[in-house]
Parts: sequence; C-alpha cells; structure tokens
Amino acid sequence: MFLITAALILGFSAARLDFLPEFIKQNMKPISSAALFLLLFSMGLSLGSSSEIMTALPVLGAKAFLLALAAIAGSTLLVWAAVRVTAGK
Amino acid sequence: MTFLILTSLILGIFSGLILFSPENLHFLPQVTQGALALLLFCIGFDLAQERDLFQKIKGLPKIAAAVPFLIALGSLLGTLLISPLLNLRPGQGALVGAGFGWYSLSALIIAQTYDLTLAALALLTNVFREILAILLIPLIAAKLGHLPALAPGGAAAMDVTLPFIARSTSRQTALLALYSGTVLSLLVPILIPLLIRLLAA
Repeated sequence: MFLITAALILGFSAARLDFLPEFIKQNMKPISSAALFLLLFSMGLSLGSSSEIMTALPVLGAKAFLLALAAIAGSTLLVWAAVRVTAGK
Repeated sequence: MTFLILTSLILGIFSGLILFSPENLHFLPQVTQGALALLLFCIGFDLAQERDLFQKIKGLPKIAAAVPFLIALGSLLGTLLISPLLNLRPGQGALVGAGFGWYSLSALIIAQTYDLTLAALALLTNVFREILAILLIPLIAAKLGHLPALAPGGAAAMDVTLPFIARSTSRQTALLALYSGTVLSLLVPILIPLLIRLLAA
C-alpha cells in the first residue's frame, strides 16, 4: 500500500517537476511495457512454483474458474446497469 | 497485446513449474514489487500529463463514487447465484467471492478461521479473477464503457490490474480505479469474517 502510493506520487512529481533525463522521458512507453511483462512473468513464476496452488488446481480448478467468472460477470453487469440507469441524471 | 500478456504469464507459470523450486525464488517478491513500483511510477508520470486532472474528476458520472460498492455487491450476487450449480452453500460461494481478487488475504483469513478446502477454493478463484480481469479489461472497456472496466479487477484495481485499466480507459478512470481498489481492499477483511460468522451461525 505504501509502495503503491509512494511510486505513484514519485512518478507524478517527476513529471510535474520535470527532473527526469530526456532519454527516460522519451522512452516511458517501452519502460512501462517492460515492467508490465516482468510483472506478469513474476506473477506466473510465483503461481507455477506455488505447491498450494498447483495441488489445488486439478481438484478445484473448474469450480474456481466458474466462481471467478460469476464474480466478474455480476460486478461488471451491476456497474454497467447502474451507469446506464443513472446516465443523464 | 493480449498474446504478449498471456505469453509472459504462461512462460512464468511453466518456468515456475519446471525450472525453479520455491527455495530458489526467495527474491521473487522483491522482483514483483519492483516491477509493480516501476509501473505505478509510469502511471503517476502519465497522470501528471493531464493539466486539469482533478477538474476532470468532476466530469465523471455521479454514480462513480458508488462504483466499489456496486462491485462488491455484484461479486457477492454472482458467486451466490452460481453456488447451487457447484454444490456449494450460497454463503460459501459468497465467501469466496468476497475476496474481490485479493487472493492472499482472503485465503489466509478463511484458512485460519473457517475451512481449509474453502480457503484453497478462495485462493484459486481470486487468482483466476485477477488473470481473467487482465484479459477482459480491454474488451469490457471497449464494449461496455470505462466504469464497468473497473469491476473485474476488484481490489486489484489499485495495483496489478491498474496498468491494464490505465491503458484501456482514461486518466480520470485510472484515478477512480485507485479509489475503487482501495475501498474494496478495506472491505475484504471486514466482509470475510462477517460472512464466516453468518455461515457458522
């Protein structure tokens, strides 16, 4: 939580106070893409190496997948409906 | 993009399965945190490009403030309704859904105070929720609008799924994602013990 807030504020300040070198400013997009793929790879790594997750997967995987889909569908549709119903008010 | 996302994730999973044992991965939390911090730094940098960002927040629909609570309610309803199909008590399904994507915390509380099998189910469900969110956010943002794109990530809208929300929506929606993710993260340790108490009663 602290890390998230600190990194965001630091990035915001870096842009407003303009203290980053030109080379980095020009390449923010590839830098953030590289960080994104590193994040996904390391998330995968921690999932794949977790014996807890890998032993539960064959037994509970299908159930968990459907529950996850149901949670996503329920929350997405409720927000979507609320936005539509209140639009223009 | 989706292809690259899946490739990175799957490469990671297979490397974790085949190449590394957990003892060799003690540095992993630092790598994940480092990559996340760098990404959030980039998001902060991008948010600052919008000169009147805080003015534009007022341009969001009035319903925006209620979004995290709608996400919470929708997640509970969705998992509750599907429970009978999966041989679960509705309350058990809702308990798993109340993790809102925060798999480590929800599984931990359930394991310590309720049931180990449900804890494992909560862990997997919320891992799947995070992965599915990453894949679905661009699609939902394009088809259903920016605010619904905050829903799939749940509590992770403020960290792991934030980069995907920021890429598929607007800067003011990314800021709203931080608010929504924070509220949902605060709700997880309140709702899960509450649901456990209701189930045990």
